[in-house]
Amino acid sequence: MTRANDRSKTGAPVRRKPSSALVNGAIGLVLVAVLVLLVAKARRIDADAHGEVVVLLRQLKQVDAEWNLDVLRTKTGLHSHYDALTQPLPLLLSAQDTLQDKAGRLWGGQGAEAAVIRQLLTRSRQVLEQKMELTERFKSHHSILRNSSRYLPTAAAEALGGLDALAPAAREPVARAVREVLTRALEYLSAPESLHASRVKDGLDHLRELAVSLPAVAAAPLAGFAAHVETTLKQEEASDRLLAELSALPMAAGIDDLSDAVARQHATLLAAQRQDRWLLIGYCLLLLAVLATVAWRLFRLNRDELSRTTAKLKESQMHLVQSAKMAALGQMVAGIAHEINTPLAYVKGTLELIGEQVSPVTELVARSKGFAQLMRDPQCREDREQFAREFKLRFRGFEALSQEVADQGVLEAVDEMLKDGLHGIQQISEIITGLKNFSRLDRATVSEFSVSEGLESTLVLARNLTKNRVEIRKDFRSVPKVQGAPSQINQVFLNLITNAVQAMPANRAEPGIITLRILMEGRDMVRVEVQDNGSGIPDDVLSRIFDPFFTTKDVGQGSGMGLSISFKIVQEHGGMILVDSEPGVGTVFSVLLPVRPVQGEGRRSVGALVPA
Amino acid sequence: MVYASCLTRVAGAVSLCLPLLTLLRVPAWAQGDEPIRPVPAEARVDARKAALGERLFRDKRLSGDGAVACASCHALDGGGSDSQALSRGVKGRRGLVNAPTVFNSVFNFRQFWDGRAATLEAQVAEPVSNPLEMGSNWDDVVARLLGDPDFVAAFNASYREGVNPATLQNALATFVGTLVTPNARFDKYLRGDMQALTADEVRGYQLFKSYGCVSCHQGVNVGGNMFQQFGVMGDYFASRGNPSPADLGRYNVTRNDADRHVFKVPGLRNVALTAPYFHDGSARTLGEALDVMFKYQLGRSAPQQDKELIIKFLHTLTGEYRGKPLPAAPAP
Repeated sequence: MTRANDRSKTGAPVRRKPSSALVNGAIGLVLVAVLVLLVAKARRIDADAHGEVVVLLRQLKQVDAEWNLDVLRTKTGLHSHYDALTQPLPLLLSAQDTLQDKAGRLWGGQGAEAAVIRQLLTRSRQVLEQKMELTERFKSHHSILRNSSRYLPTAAAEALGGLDALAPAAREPVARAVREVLTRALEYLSAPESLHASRVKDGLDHLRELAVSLPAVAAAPLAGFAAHVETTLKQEEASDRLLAELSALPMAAGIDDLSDAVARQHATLLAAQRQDRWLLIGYCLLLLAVLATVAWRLFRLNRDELSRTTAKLKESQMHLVQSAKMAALGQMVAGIAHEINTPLAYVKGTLELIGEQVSPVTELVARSKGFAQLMRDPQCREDREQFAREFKLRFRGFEALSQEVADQGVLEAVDEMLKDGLHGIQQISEIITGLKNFSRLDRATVSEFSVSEGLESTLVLARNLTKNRVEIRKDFRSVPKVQGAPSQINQVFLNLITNAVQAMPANRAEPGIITLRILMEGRDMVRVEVQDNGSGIPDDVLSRIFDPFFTTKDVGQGSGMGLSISFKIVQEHGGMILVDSEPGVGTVFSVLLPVRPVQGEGRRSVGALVPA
Repeated sequence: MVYASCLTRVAGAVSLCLPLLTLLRVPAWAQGDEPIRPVPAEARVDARKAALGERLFRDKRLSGDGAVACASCHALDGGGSDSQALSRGVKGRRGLVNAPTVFNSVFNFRQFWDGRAATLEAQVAEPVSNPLEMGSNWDDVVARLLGDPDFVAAFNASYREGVNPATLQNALATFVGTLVTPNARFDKYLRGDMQALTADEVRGYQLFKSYGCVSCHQGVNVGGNMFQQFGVMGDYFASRGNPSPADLGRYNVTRNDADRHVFKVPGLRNVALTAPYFHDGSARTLGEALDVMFKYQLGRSAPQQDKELIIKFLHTLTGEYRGKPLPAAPAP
């Protein structure tokens, strides 16, 4: 039922379901969400962070290489202090921290590559810590080694000095052994190989054997020397081992692996991003297509709706104009009836009078007919006397009657009365013509139109309104005819005159005067003014008088459409209505109409306004 | 040359450690063979943060009983430490190791005797919560400081994050980083002022090098950049007796047997002012310390005269703090 009503109202089928707005909203939301997701995906590469990581890894590798060099420089005695070896530490540690930090942000996600990177990072951190520890140990061992090795000749000299107290025979083998050990130790230091190391050890063992039997004064420096040789041996081995371990540490390789993994990960991300970008572009195109479709459908729907609505509007406007006219006519009907009734009664009375006047003539005609019969009657010839008596009687009667008719001037009176009757009929005819002219239902289309004729016929129709109430003054200049729909323009005039009359209440002291003017406005406009000396229109009302349904009259008195329709009519004739009002003084409505027909749109509109 | 250019490149490329690198950058004059390098004149730090750090450094509210500040054991009008073998913390509790000087600690590669802190921030964090030292904790410290609107206002002007353990530690570390003592007479000598040292002192330096002290005590801080075993050439701890857990040194950090009795080599800057010496504070004078070092580290003996010359040299390592020489130590 509702649907049927809808259809009848809109004139088009309605297929909307109650939940369709909700569904549409949800679809829109999903589309937008997908778009946002794709955009986010397409932008998921943090290029800056990646660049930072790459630079950091490169730096890390470089610093590490320098560090290795510094270790070697230290080993070879090129560095006289260890500051060079400690300098990279904060840098290496903070670089590692930065990498760890970045790892969380860049490679926090899933994926085999990210896991590999995290693993490599952890490994690299471990290697770094190992390397730091090994380097520290190397430093410790290296400094002891340096000391002991440098002290060896001095210690040997001291040991030899301690032998001075001994007998030459006892001294010589020991001294030879000391020199032997020193030589072998220095050999070992210059070429730290295990062969030399074992030779040093052998020499030391031999020296210790010899030293056992020596007195304390000689044994103590010897023991010191031996201890330093042993320390040298131990520290050299340790530092060599540490260096070997250090060089075996896969620090650089780890960094390379990390770099590779990062590059691979980045490449993967880039590929994915490229894919995402295409996806995004595709999706955007799809969205555009959907939007275009929707827009096109909306446009079509609107266009159809619009044309339907326009047609409906025009239709209803036409109805409105027509009904307003009919309403105006309705208002006039009473007056018109009265207008017609007066001459009608007059004609009727005249005709009755004529009837009365005609009765003596009828009598006269009857007597004349009797007199003529008598003259033709054959009996009369036979009875002369009776004939003469009869003749005399009838003649007198006839004479008296004709005299009476002639005296009374019956025929003159009848003639007069016929003239009066015709006049009355003429009046009625005038009103009928005015009415016909006013509506011009028979001449709906645009035609040439004299505004003065229009005003006159409108005045005829409005006579009932104006009669005995207002004085009509006319000031008509000679103007060309205008092009227009006469019935519509007359309707405007009637509206304006009606309003003017109503602006001047009957019970006021001042006599109402309506002044109608026709004059030229410029070269191609005819100006029709309807001026009253009524109450005028207040400012607040003035701005609204052309609004539809605006009325100051009581309910039922006015439709509120009069001026609105008048405005519309004049506008569509390519003219305009101007109003100038001063409260207490009066109002002038001016209708300006173009002499030449308006082009195109307006003209069609005029036609459209005319009821079919 | 390669070394310097490498450093320059690294310093240029990496902004992360720029302040530290600037601090440690090797100036051109230090390209010589001298194993000791002069202290750079100025550390470049945020002066406002350093000032906040100084306030904290002297603030007893950092301790549990409100009686101990950092400055209590690290006297800045002395050698940056105190004269106790083991310092007293809250309620008179004794610490486990000798308080090292805070001066030039920024040049140490690690902090604490056992090197357990890699940064000054990590270092300053510990004494506050150490029950034997300041006996507090950072949350309490933050709470106490938040009750001081003046401090909070000043602090928030430098630290957007406001007062929290990390920012407090950063302020303290920033201040400690400024505690450097340049212009020691020896540094002037290193910079080419041959008149800065007497002949004895120069001779002492030569002996310091030739006896091998310099193999550990080298670099800008005359030490402080490596670990070394205490007792390389003999068992110091057996001779000393009375073993303590602190004697294990770095072993306590790494639990690696090789690190038993291994300590960070202390820097010898201002060493004449920082008695007593060693982690246990067992050497009351430089002479005693030298004797121990010769015996257990160098494994050799030296004539008393040489030792005295070395001590004379050590006195030339006393620098200036804020443009004023640190109070002179009694002449050797």
